[in-house]
Parts: sequence; structure tokens; C-alpha cells
Amino acid sequence: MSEHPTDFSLVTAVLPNSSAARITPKLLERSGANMLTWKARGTLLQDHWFKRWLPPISPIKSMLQMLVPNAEAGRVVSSVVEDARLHQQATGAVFSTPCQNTFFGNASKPWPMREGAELSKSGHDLSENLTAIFCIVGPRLSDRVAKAAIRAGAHGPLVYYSEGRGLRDRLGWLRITKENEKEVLMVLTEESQADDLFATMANAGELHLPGRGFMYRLKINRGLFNLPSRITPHHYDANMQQIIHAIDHLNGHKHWRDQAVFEVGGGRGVGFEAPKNTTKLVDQVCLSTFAPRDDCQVVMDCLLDNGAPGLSMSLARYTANSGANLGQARVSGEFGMLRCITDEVTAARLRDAVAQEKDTAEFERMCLFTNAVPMVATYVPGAKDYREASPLAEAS
Amino acid sequence: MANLMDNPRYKLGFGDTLRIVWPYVKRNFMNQVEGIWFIVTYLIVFQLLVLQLPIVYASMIAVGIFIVALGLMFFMEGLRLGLMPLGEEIGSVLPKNSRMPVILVFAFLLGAGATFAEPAIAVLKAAGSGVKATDAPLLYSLLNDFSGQLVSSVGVGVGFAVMLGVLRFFFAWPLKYMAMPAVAMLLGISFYFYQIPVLNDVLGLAWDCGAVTTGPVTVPLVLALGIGVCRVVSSGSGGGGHSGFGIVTLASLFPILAVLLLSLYHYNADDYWGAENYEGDVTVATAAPLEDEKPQMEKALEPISMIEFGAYLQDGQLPSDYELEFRGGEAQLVDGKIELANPEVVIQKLYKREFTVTGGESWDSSTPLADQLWQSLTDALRAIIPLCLFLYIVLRMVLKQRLAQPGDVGIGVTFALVGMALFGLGIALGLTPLGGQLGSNVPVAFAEILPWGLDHVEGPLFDGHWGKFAAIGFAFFLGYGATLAEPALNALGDTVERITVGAFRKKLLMQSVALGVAVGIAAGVLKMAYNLPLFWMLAPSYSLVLVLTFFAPHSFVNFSWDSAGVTTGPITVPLVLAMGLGVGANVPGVSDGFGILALASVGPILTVLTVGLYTQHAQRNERNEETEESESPNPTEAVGA
Repeated sequence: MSEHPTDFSLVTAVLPNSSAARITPKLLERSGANMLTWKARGTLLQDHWFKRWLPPISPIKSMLQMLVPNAEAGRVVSSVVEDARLHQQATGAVFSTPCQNTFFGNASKPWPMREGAELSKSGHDLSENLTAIFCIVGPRLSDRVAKAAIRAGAHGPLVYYSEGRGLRDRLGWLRITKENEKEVLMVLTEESQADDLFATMANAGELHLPGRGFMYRLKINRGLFNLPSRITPHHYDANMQQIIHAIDHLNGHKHWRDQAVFEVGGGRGVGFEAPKNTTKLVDQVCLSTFAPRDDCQVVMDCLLDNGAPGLSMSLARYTANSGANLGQARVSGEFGMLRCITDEVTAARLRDAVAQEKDTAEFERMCLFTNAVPMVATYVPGAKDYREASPLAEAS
Repeated sequence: MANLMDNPRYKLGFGDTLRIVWPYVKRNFMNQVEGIWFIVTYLIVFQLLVLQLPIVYASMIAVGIFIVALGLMFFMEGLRLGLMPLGEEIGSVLPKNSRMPVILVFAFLLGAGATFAEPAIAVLKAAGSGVKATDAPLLYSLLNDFSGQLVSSVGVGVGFAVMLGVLRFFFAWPLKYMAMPAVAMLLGISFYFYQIPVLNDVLGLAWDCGAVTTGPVTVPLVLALGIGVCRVVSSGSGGGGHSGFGIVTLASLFPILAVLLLSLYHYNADDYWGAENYEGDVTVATAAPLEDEKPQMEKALEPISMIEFGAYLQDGQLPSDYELEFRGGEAQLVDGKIELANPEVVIQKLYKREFTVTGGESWDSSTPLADQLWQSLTDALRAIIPLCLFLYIVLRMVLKQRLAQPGDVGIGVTFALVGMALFGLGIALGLTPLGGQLGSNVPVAFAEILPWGLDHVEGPLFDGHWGKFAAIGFAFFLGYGATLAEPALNALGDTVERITVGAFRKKLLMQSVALGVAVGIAAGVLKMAYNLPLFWMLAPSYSLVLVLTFFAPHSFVNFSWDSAGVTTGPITVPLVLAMGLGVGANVPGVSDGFGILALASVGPILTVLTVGLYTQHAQRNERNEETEESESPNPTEAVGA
């Protein structure tokens, strides 16, 4: 295993199942290309007067992820935009996240470089000032955080499952006491609104209390999102979202939203509360590891032994161009994503530890990369009494 | 590299261990209490307040219910840690490491084996305890002479169902197009049976077989297997073939077919009781005495005192509330009137609702605790160990794969075992006596019966049809509450929520299934109370199900048909059967308690499909906006032009 010379980007697409199934073969037509498919759900609030008190509706979505060389990322993103018709309302989202220090196991194949000819080009402009907010909370909290995010102006968050690993795994047989599943909420937003949205979600989830959850932000290179947030009654001629999007199209940018709408209440961002009591962490990076499901345990042990604070593990289906068939179905593998947020020193140590094990069978098909994390919110034990207020500050 | 799982990093003292375990135990225990509080409260309130009858064995029942919650807690954790990961592991390894014939043989063996591990024949025997050979000879023979064949044919049916269910994943056959023809065929055969009296008796048994075959161990295992397979298998096209559900559905349809065919065979071979080729040694004498065991049907009437009698003789003044009865005499129809010749006229004072309680015992001493515990422990061992052993051997020997987390699975299987044993004990101590009392007391609403623990007969509390309606209303809530506590349904709910990543909540599924079962059981009691033909209750409801299935989205078809298979489990069955038999015993012409469970399986299909159609409708709003947008010209281009 060695650090790959080229820079990679993680391209993520959020689509309804039907269009995900349509796009997958197109993206995988070249041999060696592979992707991970995650099951996820969207969130929709209902605006009917009596349905407001019902739990949000959750349409099933798929999340596709590919690790693509930087040079290709733009083309892959715009091809997804074109094929999934992402310029239309409520269709989905696609974005690419820049990755640093990408490692590949001996047997894992990076996404092949190719001539861009086969990929459809898109005439639609991609936004470049986006950011992704991830919030990991228990299943009981996720609805509250999702509602708060939508009310603060975000789209309906995408939710997928992950398993918190690390702490309780060290407790021997007591590991059975860990909670089943955590839910990861992902929200895409304009960078200018990200701080306020981040604070709103952190407050809604009460992340300053111990054991509540973890939030972080990742930078996005470029992307486009058109995710729905609400179901409005029939008698609205055009809903607010449609009007805003029409104005976006007319202006050619989204900056007008800041100036025109959000300055009404005095400060920018009407209705945003000041963040309270959240512990700040500086110089954090997000270290992600992909490994086949069967090898995850060994990789996880290696990371935890070398000082990873805790991992969130989620499972996805691995689809590659080549694959075995049984009946009429394709037999594919499963990959796990192990992700932890830690400081740069620890991350470097973890990378070295993984590099040392590179010849082990379990590490052959894995890959590892890091992303810069500009902001984190969680409860940090011992750092401070959590009941005391301490303002959340931007890191780096 | 040190393995974290084997070498715990932190050494914990007793206090710390307790501090970690306690919230875990509390959380899981309260989850179970949440499931069973409704049914327990409801049963007690109904017995004490509505029927105004005492609860016999009260403290035994209280202890039993506590044990049920404890057992459920262990069992559900056992499913999560042990049985379901084991099933999933096998499911996900099978397609990678083996060829199609191996997979199919494995699936068949699993299905058939699960049926023998959790035999439903005891339940069926209980339901058919009142069957008289003279009334329903074929049914009687099936339950007694051919009970071995009955279990085997159900086992074979389930085996084929699991096989076909797994095959379905590989070819992405939508469940819709498998279940609909199967049900249509079953209805067709049932219609044929309906027209022949001897075969008609068997219908209830056959349809119930489908409902009871899938028990609390089989369902989670089979679900997990399907999910494991679908984790690695994909065919690109949608169609709902790959959600991992559907095996349970087929496993509840095929046994019906198997039992129908078995009875058809015996019908044609003429070797059932009373037919030409009958070889059994059961004589009518064993079945007949049931006739005489009716409780003495005399009310504890207030005798008319000598003083009142003297008053009557003097001025013909009757006591304030009295009843006039004509006994004997010869009735004749004369000019459209009934004329009684020489009747004996009896005047009685009306019955007053005052009684003394004789059965004030708080603990049933007839069955020792140790025996009960031993019984439930052996049942649990038989239900869990052979299946797990079979799965483990297949994993190690055939697939040559090691368990990912053997420690967790070991703990899980132990938990499941302990849980199952406690659960069985709790049911025997708590729920069965409570449900049995109440079930047999319910007919007091419309008939005269001898309730538990009283020295004389009671009832009817309501006049005419109202009493029967009261019993039906009781059945509705009983079905609702019992279903919420069912462990197999809880496991299904968890799985559905996990597979859809929370898009379909467990709570929504549980509530809609419980409502469906409630409707189904109420319909079943209606059938018993008025002795309606089962076919005419099954045919319309299943036809409606077929129509809804046709329109519903694929994923909902899978959940709803699967939830029908899991509804009838160890909590519902004893409660419902006790009540069904109690009601049936007081309605002339009803000999068995069959049919209620079959109807209880139709209900949830209907309700979950309805929820599915509603959700589809609600999400259409989103899609409407999408299409409107795509049809309208792009605003930027409009400006440019």
C-alpha cells in the first residue's frame, strides 16, 4: 500500500431508487469502474395543517459513491447531473469532495482514467461554494434534528444508518449493551448558510450533552442539489421552492438569497439562534476507510489499537463492472465504510499503521483517505463541564 | 496484532459493570413492557369491570406476566445478537460460495426443519379438541389418525415455500405475481371443498395451518436469511424482488395447499373415520361423552318464600319480579296459533345477580412450578438448538466459512434460549390462565355459562344480539393487544425498519398489523357466534386483498403479506383459541375453533396494503411538482428568448 500519486475526489450522488438503477450501468460501463450503493431515506415535512403533527414522510433513496481521480471528477459529476436530470425540482443531488492522502491496498483498483467522450456533458452550471453537514445521532433524535434543519431552510436531510464502534467494543462481553444503530443525517447547503444551519442542527440535537451525537462539516468541490423539503397542499399554485429556484435561474447565482431574503430580521439568517454550549475542536480531519465487509473487523481493530477515538461503520453494496452471476441476478460484494474524526497527528499515525500492515490479506482491498473538517460539534468528556456555556467557534 | 474483541482493554469493577448493564437492561425491559401492558391491562379491566367476575389465580398470573416480559427481553436480544446475524451470515455467504442446487436443498431443509422444531400440531389439536368424529369425520381423522402426516405435509409445504422464496430472489420474481395466483388457486380449491360436506369441515384446519406454521424462531431466521441473500444479490431492475421479504408469505400459503391436498387424498382413499377403508381403532364412544359434560344449566334462583306464596294464594298478588314458564303439555298448530294442552305453569322469582366466589385461590397448585419450567425449557431447546446447529454446521462444513463474531452469536443464542424458556413459563403461568378464564367467561355476555371460580351459572348480561356483539368487540381489542406483544412481529418490525432505513417505521407497521388482526379476529368470532360458513368469509376478504395487492407498490406487497404470516404466535393463539372455543361451545352446531386464525391473517394484509396505498398517494404530491417543473419551459431559456 502506498500513497497514490494522483489526487482523488469522492463523488456522491443522492437519487431516487429508480433513477439510481438507470444510471448505475452507464457509470460502470468501463471495466474497472466500481461504486458503492447505500440505502438511505429522504425526509419530507408535510405542510397540510393537520399533517404537520405527523412524523415526516421518508421516501427511500439510494446514495452512490465513487472514488474518482480529480481530473475525472468534474466530468463524472456533470454526467450524473445530465443523466439523472438533476436540474429539475426534487430529483436528487450530486457533489464531489476533495480527498487528501489517498491510499489503496495492493489489490484494490482505482477508478480508471478515461477519455471523457462517453460521459454525457452537462450544460448546467455546478455550484462551487457548497458544504456538506453530517450529523450522527441516535434514531430517536434524528427526526427532531431533521425538522430543525428543514425549518432553518435546508432541504430534507438524507439519512443512512451507521454503527458506532470503538468504545463499547473494548468492554468484553459488555459490548452487547451498545445501541443498535445510529442515523447519519446529511445536509447540503450553501457555504454562506452553513454556519447557522450547523448551529441550528447542533442545538436541536442538544449535542452539547454527553452521549447525544457528533456533527461535522466537509468541504465540497462542486455539486448541484435539488432535494425536496416539503409536501405542500395542492392549492398552492407554485411553492416557494419553485419560485426561489426560478429566481436562481434568472439571476444565474444564488447569492441574492442572502441579500434579499435573509436580511429582513436585522442579522443574517432569520430565526437562527446563537449556538450554545458546544465544545469546539480544532485541526480535525475526517479519516475514511473502505474495506470489504469481512475484513472490516481486522481493519477496525488496527485503527482502534492505534488510537482512533471511535469509529462509525456503515455498510454498502459494492458494484463493479465485472461480477459473478447466479440465476438472473448479479452477486456483488459488500463494503464497509469506517470513518472517524480525529486530529491530524492521530490521523497520520493511523495512516502509518495501516501502511505497515499493507501486505496482510485483509488490507489488500481496502482504501483510505482523509478530508479536511472545518467544523465539529460534540461533547468532549473532561475538556469542560458541559453545563457551562462555551461558544462554538470555527476551526482552522 | 492484538484482537480487541478477545482482549478487553478496560478492566471493570462490579460497580462499573452494573452501571453499564443497568441502563441496557432497563431499556430492553421497558421496551417489552411497552408491548404487553395494553393486553394485560385490557384483560384485567374487562374481566373485573365489564364482566364483573373475579380473577382466579391472581398472584400466579402477576408473576407469570412479569416472567413473560423478562423472557421477551432476553429473547429479542437473542434474536438481535445471535439468531438473526447467524441467518444473515448464511444468506450472504450462500450465493457466493455455492451453486444453485445446494442453495435450494438448504432452503428446503431449513423450512421443513423449522416446522418440526416448532410444531403447530399442539395448537391445532387444541383448536379441534371439541371435534366429534360423527360430525366431522375427515377432520377428526386428520387430527388424530393422520396427525403425523399432517405435520409432515405442513413441513414439506413450508420447505417448498422457503425454496421458492429463495429462488425468487435470484430471478427477481415480484411477490405480487406469485402470491396472487396462489391465493386464487387456494380459493378455487376451497370452493370445491365447500360444496362437499366432509371436505368443508377441513377448510378451517387447512387455512389455519398456514397461519400457525410460522413461529417466533422460524420467522426471524427466515427473514434474516432472505435479507442476507439480498445483501449481495442484485439484478438491476426494481420490482421489489430484492428486499429480502416474501419467504414468510409463501411459507403461510403453501401449507394450506399441502393440507388441502392431503385431505383430498384421504377423501378419495376413503380411509378416514367411518369410511370404508378406515383402519384406526377409535370408536364413537371416546368422542360421545363430551355431550354430557355441559354444566348444570340451572340458575341460582331466588326461591319464593312461604310468605310470598301465602300472599299469592290469598289475593293472587305475585312477587315484584317474576318469570312465567310453561313446561310440558302438547303443542299443536291450530288456525295459525300454537295451542298448549295441559301445560304445567311455573312461576319463579327473577334471578338476581348476586354470587359468592368459590375459587379464591391465588395459585394453581395442580401443576408444580418445576414441571412447567422443565416443559418450557425442553420446548425452547427443541425450537432453537437443532435449527442453530443445522445452520452452524452448514456454515462451517458446506460453506467453509467462519462466523464473523462467534462470541456475540453464542451470547445471542444463549439469550434466545433463556428468553424462550422464560417466555414459555410466563405464558403458562400468566397469560394462558388469564386468557383462558376470560375467554371462557366472555360468552357470559350472550349465554348462560358457569364462569370460573363461581358456584353457579351466570349470564346472559346482554339481550339477543347485543351480547354477541359485545363478545365480538372484546375480540377486537384482544386481537389488537395480543398482536402488539407478539415477538415475531416485533422482529419483523425491526427488520422492516432496518431494511428501509427507517422509511417504513416499526411503529406504523405494528399499529397497522395490530389493527388488521383485531378486525380479523373480530370477524372470526362473528363466524363462531353465528356459525357462518368459513368459505364465505375467506373468499370476499381474500378477493379484496387480491385487488389491493394488484394496485399496491411492490415493497408494501412484501411487508404486508409477510406480516400476515407472523401475526399468529405464542401470545395470540392461546388467548384467541380460548375465546373462540368458549364462544363456539355456547353456539349450537359449532364443533371446532378453526378459522379464526385464518381470518386473523387476512386482516393485516388488508391494513398494511391500505397504508401502502395511502403513502404512495401522499408521495405523489412530490412527484407532481417534479413533473410540472419538467414540463414548464426552463426559465433561463425563456428569458433568453
